[in-house]
This record gives sequence, C-alpha cells and structure tokens, in this order.
Amino acid sequence: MLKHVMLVDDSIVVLKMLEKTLQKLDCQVSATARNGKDAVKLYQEHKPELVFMDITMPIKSGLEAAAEIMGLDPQARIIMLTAMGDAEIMARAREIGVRDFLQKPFDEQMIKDTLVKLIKEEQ
Amino acid sequence: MGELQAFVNQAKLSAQKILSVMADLQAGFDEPPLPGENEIEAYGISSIISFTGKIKGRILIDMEHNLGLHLARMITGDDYRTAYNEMVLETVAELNNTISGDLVTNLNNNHGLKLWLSPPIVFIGEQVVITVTRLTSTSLVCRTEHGKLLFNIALEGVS
Repeated sequence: MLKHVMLVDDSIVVLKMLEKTLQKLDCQVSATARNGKDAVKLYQEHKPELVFMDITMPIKSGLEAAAEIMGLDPQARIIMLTAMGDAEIMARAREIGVRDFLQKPFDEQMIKDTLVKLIKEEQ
Repeated sequence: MGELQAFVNQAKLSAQKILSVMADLQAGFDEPPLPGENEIEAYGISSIISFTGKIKGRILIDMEHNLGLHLARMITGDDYRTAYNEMVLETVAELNNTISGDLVTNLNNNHGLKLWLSPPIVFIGEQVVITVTRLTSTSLVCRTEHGKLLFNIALEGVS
C-alpha cells in the first residue's frame, strides 16, 4: 500500500505494534522517532508518504511537531495517535491540518480502515 | 459528586475497558476503594503519570511481576523470562498511558476538567515503598487471573 511511512511515538511498544501491523497491510516503515523534535528532523530527511504521530511525547509534543511539519510541507499527511481523544485536542489538531486520529488502543482493523479512508478521500 | 469520586468511578471503567481490549483480561474491582495511605508497598512494577489542568495530580499503577509478564506477552506477542526487561516495563508504561488517557478523556468530555497528561515513568524493584505526601489519594485493588494490580489516584488541593 505505502512504501515510506514514518512512525513517531515515545513508546517502543507502540512502535513495535504499529510496525508489525503496517507490514501485514503491505506498508513499509522507513523511519521512526521517539519525540517531536526528531520527528521534524527525520521528516525533512525522509519525506515519508504518511506519518503516524503520538500526541504526548517528551521534548516536543506531537501537536507542536505536526504544526512544524505542516508549516514545512502543507501537503504532509499526518495521522495522530492518541490516548486522549477529547474534543478540544482533536479540534486543535484539525486546525493544524492533520488528516485523522487513531485513539489508543487501536487494532489492525482500525489502522486498515484509517488507511483506506485516507486513500479514498484523496481520489 | 466530589472530584476524587469522579476519578475513581471512571478509573474502574477505563481500566476494565483497556485491559479487556489490549490484553483480553477481565478486571475485577470487588473491594471498596481504600483510603489513601502515606506509604504504598509496591507489588513490583509501577508506573506513574502526572496530569495538570483544572485539577493537578497523578495516577499510579502498580502490578505483580506475573501480571506484567502476561500483559507484555499479550500486547507485544513475545515471551519474556523476566520482568526486568525493557519491553515489559515499556508495556506497563504504555498500559498506564492508555488507561489514564481514556480516564482523562472521559473526565474532560463529561466534566470539562481540561486535563493534560505527562509522559509516563515506570520502575521495578523488590520491596519498593512509594510515599504519598501532600496529596489526597485513594487506592483501588484490581484482581485478574494473572495477578493483582493497584491503582492509586492522588489529587492536589482536594479534600
């Protein structure tokens, strides 16, 4: 499905689970980061087709990193991962320009549905 | 309803939901909440998340090693010989993050508390004693078929 996906989460458990699931869905992970600061730097180096980004992270949050990436590349496709799905956070993220949200805990079907929805919206 | 009671009620719901979804585990909260003690003798693997907003405080999750190992196996798909393993500890941290996230989301949406979580910390040890000072807290004991789990919710400036 996608050849260059970047994963950003401070939890290696989440990174591992996501990478395994994406491989099953025929997606390749080309970069991972564990905080928002590294996420911005790696985005510029790798220019991934899609970014899965956690919200709550040390050093720089996912929302701050997403805003920076959207500033650098308004066409960036970012899906926020969050344990916190409250309406205010989602509204802030939409203002930044993220494409969608996955609230934890997520499973393979949720990730697949999100990818299919993203591709359909762009067609 | 007092703030602490709202937290306790939602904590039970969030824990049962997340443990079921992430690890197919049934969580029983059969005992009534315990009043806060100044010292908690930890079961073995502990994780703390702080939060801020209209109320400040922290959520402590503490579990027996066997339960931590079982959760790591269910969530990551790999077996671990000992709980002194980075993936086991990270699993406990992520579990706390997910349960606390669900708890806080519901409190934000239903009570407008505008709470925000910090990243979790996790630690493991033998005969660890955790002290709770200057905060009002309550403890919930959760029993599963793979071991016990304690939630301690502590709020600042609440009686």
